[in-house]
Amino acid sequence: MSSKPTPQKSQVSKILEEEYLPLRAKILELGAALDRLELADTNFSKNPKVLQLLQAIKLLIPEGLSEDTNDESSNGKNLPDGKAQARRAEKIQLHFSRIYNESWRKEYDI
Amino acid sequence: MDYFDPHIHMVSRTTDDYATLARMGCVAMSEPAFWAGFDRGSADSFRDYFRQLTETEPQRAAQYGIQHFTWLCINAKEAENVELSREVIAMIPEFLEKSNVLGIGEIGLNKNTKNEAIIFLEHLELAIEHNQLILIHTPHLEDKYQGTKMILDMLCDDKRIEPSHVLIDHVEEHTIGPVLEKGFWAGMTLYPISKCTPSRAVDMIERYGTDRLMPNSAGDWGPSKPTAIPDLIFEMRKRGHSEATIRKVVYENPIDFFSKSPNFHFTPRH
Repeated sequence: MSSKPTPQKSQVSKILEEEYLPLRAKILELGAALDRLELADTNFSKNPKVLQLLQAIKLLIPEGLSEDTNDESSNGKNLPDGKAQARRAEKIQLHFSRIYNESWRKEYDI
Repeated sequence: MDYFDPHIHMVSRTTDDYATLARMGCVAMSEPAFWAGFDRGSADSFRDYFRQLTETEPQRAAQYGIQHFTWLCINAKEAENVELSREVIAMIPEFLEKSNVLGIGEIGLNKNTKNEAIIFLEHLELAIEHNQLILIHTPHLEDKYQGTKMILDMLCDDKRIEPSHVLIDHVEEHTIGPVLEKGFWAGMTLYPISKCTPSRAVDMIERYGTDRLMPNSAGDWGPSKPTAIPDLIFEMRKRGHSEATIRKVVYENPIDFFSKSPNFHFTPRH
């Protein structure tokens, strides 16, 4: 297996700078879209697709992160190691996937 | 930088796209047989399509200095029609000696049905019988995980199949690991809405390494971008990756995989 190419150290803070505003904009878009859906649908909080979306958003947030960003007791120091958490995309993909049916061959007689 | 697009549907693109791709550094491409956007009514429709893939597109590409290779099959969506599929599979050997045919593809699953699985297995038999490489389409969205696992089940059950001769395409974050762990090649399709963005593809390269991975654009008749690989090259440069690392995924890896086909005769640029 090849070594895993990683971004140069000098690039890491640059990546954060570049990603911050686009990410902020995407989160704002998410909030606005959910507001739009809620205003249009009186059953918003019971709609299975909406619930699935809201559950997916929860997967983005590390365990242990206080809702109050000004809470000095959390302040990031109790968060698990960042790399251990960095499987959000994979978790979200699985969240939106059908569960693997191991007995498919038996059911299809293949 | 010279690059390959290992999965692009040029029958759906204009000649202007060939010109643009050539100017962006595309030196070769492979075009799997796929769904035309409508279900075809007879095997003869596929015969004409295979002539287009083996005769017309190589000539169109050559006008812009691009070498064109192809793959033949009946796609997973039309595989639901088992009778038609068997007629098409029976016809494919007529075309396997054409000089630009690399193998059987893009076979696979769409909605993970019994008929799709039956025809997938019959395509595998065809590939084994004629010693062909295999290019596999995995389903999209909520069906991808189940479909990819079913495909891996069928491939790994058959000990005649050499994993290094199989490219499993459209991998994403939740399917790339199992594909690479089993020894198969993995294709990352860069697509504006479904599939994968250039940024996410580079994330996967950084997580899994550069071996047996290659990006493609899948440029087709849908909302796709035929110049997506240059976007990935740009993203890798932006993150500070070396030119050698970039070249491995967009040029050397496709050559390495395609070279397993006796029909792959590639002439690099001087």
